[in-house]
Amino acid sequence: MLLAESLRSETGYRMVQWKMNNPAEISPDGSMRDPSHWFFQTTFWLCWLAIALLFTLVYGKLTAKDVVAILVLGAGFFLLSELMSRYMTRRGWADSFRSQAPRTLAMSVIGSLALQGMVDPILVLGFHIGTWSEVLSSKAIAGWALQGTLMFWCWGSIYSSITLRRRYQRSEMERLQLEAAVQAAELRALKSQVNPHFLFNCLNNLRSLVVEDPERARDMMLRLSELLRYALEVSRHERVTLEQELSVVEAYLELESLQFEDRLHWEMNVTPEASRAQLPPMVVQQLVENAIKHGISKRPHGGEILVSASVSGGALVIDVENSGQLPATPGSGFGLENARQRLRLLSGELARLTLSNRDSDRVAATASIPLS
Amino acid sequence: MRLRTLIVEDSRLARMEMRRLLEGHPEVEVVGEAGNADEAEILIPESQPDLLLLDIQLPGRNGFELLESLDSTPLVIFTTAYSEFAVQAFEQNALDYLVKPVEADRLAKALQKASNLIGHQEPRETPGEQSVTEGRSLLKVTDRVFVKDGEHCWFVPLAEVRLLEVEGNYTRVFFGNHQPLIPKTLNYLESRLDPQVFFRASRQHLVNLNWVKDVESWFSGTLRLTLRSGQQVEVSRRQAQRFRDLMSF
Repeated sequence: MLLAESLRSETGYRMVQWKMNNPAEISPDGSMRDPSHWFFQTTFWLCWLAIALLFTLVYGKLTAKDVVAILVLGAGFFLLSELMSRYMTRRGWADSFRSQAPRTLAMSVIGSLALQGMVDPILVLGFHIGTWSEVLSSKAIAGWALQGTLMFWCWGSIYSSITLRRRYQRSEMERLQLEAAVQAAELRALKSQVNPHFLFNCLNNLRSLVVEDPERARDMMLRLSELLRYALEVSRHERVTLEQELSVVEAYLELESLQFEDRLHWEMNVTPEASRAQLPPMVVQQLVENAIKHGISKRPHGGEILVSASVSGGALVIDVENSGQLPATPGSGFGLENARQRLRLLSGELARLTLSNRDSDRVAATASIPLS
Repeated sequence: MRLRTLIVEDSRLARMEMRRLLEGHPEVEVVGEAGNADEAEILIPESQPDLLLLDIQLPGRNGFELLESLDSTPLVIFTTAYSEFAVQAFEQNALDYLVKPVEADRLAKALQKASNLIGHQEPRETPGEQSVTEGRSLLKVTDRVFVKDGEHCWFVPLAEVRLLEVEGNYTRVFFGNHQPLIPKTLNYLESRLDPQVFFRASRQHLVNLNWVKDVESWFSGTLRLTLRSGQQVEVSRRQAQRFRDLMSF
């Protein structure tokens, strides 16, 4: 088992899940707080300005006062629409097309009244265009309210539909990216759970065994299926019983026996209480695989593996002992720290993993997993 | 052309599988099987195979370490369950490598390469005719040595080795653009190499005479050799006389 690899995929998985639980992370408000926002704003209101000037020119005489009034009005539109866009963004109006229209309409009415309240004093007091009695007549107020509302409504509808569309595209893209990430994480998890060296050696040995002992080969194919199914499916479950785990470990050891034959002996020693205990899947499997990889497979004459498990002090204690010795220089490719971290990730902070020489010819890995 | 082959592979079933695959190749004669590097190290000098089918992953010393311990290597086809970078680094100059389970076509191609190479070599001498020193035959210029330097590996024909230099208990091998170290002493190598080809110029150097381009007299009775690569090697006073004798016979 490539421990570092599996740890990496573990954290990869967590990151993906974390992202899934935080929609804000994958779908930001989708507003146009970027160059395209300003592009839209400028284009829209410059168009309005051009049309207003053209209209005045066609239907009357375009005086300096008219130009000033239109410019001030345009500035008012721009400023208020800017405020509205911020408000829409903050309130997350880009959630759906439904309920969009009435809300935009209401906002437009308020906007148009605010526009009059803002623009009229400037025109009357600042530029002496028109008189208070003129602008405060009910006809003028109603007429301007209607025009302003239409303008804002038009603007608001376009703005929010563009925003919605952009947001949809973004979330679609992110959904695809997320799917790819999940798949990659699953693949990595699978890869880390099935050591390719083991898998291909196993297939090669099976190919040979088919000729030598077809019945046993058929049996071994079942064992391989059991192991692969477990690695692929059960890893998604949180917990398995030790009994389930050990049945897969046994299948694994039988398959390794095709490679090692009489160079590999094993024994399991598990109390009934321990075999009912729950633990994260692949924990014992990993310890045994490491015992083979770093112990048995390094020895020309092989050796033995002893798996024992018991419950003591509210914890499941699993002991995997193998022939061999730890290298004199520690930390050489054992990935012990990674294995430890992985165990803690899966079984909580109280989980322990130690690795030591038991005697001059034995190494023992001991995992202690608190029982919930 | 017969291809005397030794299978080095730790799994018995995998060895059987390889034998079965080789049955389709009558030119291949399996001269033995080894389950680990130690067994192979004994079998190779005994059975003098032309070809090794060598698994890289072996219990104890691995395939590379086995090759390093040999004075000269037969042709080698690596087999591995899973191609890793070590093999890829090799692809350039290994004869070939096969992933297990082995496809018959790929094996056939690899064996063809081996046959072609063997065909170009001079026929193997029968043991009785070999020049023998202290019971072991000397290496010929067509023999290959396996050289590993970090992640790079080479099978170097001795004819391409122009110079060997002392480096403590190791020896630096000069060939092509490379000069890696091998874990053997120069004295040991001298004892295994043909003295007609590899001349001990001094305590430091063993020179391949076929690479010498120019010889000039140097200080107080010593000589200076210039190799075709441009490298210059000094011949000590004591060895200079031997060199003259060797050159003038």
